[in-house]
Amino acid sequence: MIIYFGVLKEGINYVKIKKKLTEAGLIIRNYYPALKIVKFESEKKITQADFDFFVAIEEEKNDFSIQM
Amino acid sequence: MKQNRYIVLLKDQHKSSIQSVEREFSVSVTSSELLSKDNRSYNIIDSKNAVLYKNLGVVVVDDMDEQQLTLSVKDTKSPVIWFEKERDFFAADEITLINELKTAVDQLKTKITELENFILHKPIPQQPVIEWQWGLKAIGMDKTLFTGKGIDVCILDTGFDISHPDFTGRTIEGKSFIQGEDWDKDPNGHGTHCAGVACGNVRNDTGVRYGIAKDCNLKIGKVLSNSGNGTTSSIIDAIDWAITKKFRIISMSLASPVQINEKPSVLFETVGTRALENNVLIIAAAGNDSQRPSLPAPVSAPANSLSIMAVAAIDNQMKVARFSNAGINASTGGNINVCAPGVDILSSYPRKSGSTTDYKLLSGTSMATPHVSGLAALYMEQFPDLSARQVWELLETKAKQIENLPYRDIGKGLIQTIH
Repeated sequence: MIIYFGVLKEGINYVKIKKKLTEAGLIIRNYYPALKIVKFESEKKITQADFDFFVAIEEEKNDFSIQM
Repeated sequence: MKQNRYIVLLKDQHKSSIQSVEREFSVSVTSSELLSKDNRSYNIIDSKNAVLYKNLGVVVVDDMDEQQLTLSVKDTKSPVIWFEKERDFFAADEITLINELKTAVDQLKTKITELENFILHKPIPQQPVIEWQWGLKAIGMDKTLFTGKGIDVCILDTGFDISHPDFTGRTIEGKSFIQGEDWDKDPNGHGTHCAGVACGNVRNDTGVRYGIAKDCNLKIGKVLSNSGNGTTSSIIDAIDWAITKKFRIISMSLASPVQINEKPSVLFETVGTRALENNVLIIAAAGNDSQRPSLPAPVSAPANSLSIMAVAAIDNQMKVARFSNAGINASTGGNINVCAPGVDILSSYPRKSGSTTDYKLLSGTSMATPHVSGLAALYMEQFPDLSARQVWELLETKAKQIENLPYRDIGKGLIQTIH
């Protein structure tokens, strides 16, 4: 499973698109109301072109580290 | 050439007196009764022709011999009893005078402002600042009385050693975003060090101060594992928590390297923007991927986002740290905003087995970042009405350039307290 972060476009209501994401087979892991970002998982590769209500979709990175 | 005109007062206007004046001074006197619009006094009066103003008993004439006039005044037989040079009179225009004064004051104000700007922004000479807590002196901590009191500063890092003696008695709130690891322990030590720089106080052994916002409200988010690594998930989860809790400052001494010309993450750009909209300032390390003097590496993520403040590191010689990343992806974003002390920085550290101290010297843009976060807390205390975005602007405005160090390496310069 790959974790993605979808950045919602201005004016998009999360409640209304939640169903579409589920129907597309995605597993929603979190919604951040203050950030208007949705975290979801998918077995297949996802791109922004797959969902027009996201400004961007980014894959989780795991290479953040301390800087000393 | 301007002529000297004289006003000569006569004791009377008898014909003999007029003739006496004409003889004595070799002039021809014309009575004012003969003046008209076609025969103006200024057309008559010169060194040979005088005008007698009948109503005043005064003769006006040019270029008289002053010595002779003086003698005549003293001579009781002479009809001349007084004389003086013509004076210039000007209209007294008070408004013009006030306007001129205002202009002069404005010019003086401009000069004072220029001088003030010069003094405040003159480059810092490249000379060493030799102290354990050199970083605090370099940013002017010895000149301010602000302590960050009442400001919530959130350190997103490897956790925090809550048993550290310098933090005994302080109320510290925290949350772990790393499964199976607690926020209030810090086997790594990095988080405790960064928290100490931003929010610490004085050493319990020597009394030397190493922390900036010693009275702020310390908040801890554990987003990096004990090995010092983390994911987008843990960071986003923690930022959302911090924004929801309305913490004012989020300090992230962490980074993920990027390639040259790689565009900043839209995700983190959005997160930074949303934070600012919620009056939260996110400050992040520029990254340690450089090996100067070779071409430095670009500013890492998430500091390369325009909505997140990027911090470079300098040493106590006022030189950019050899590892400090630079704004070389300027066309796609990723400039340095400010720099701060980041080499040989002393701060709190978990006492590990065999160790005899609660402190450690560390280097990195990780150490520079909490200097900015701590100072931001002081600014927020000092200027409580400023928004997070305005505090960011103020940090840049008050930063001082360092001689010979380019914008690419240190942005607007070394952060400074306001006093």
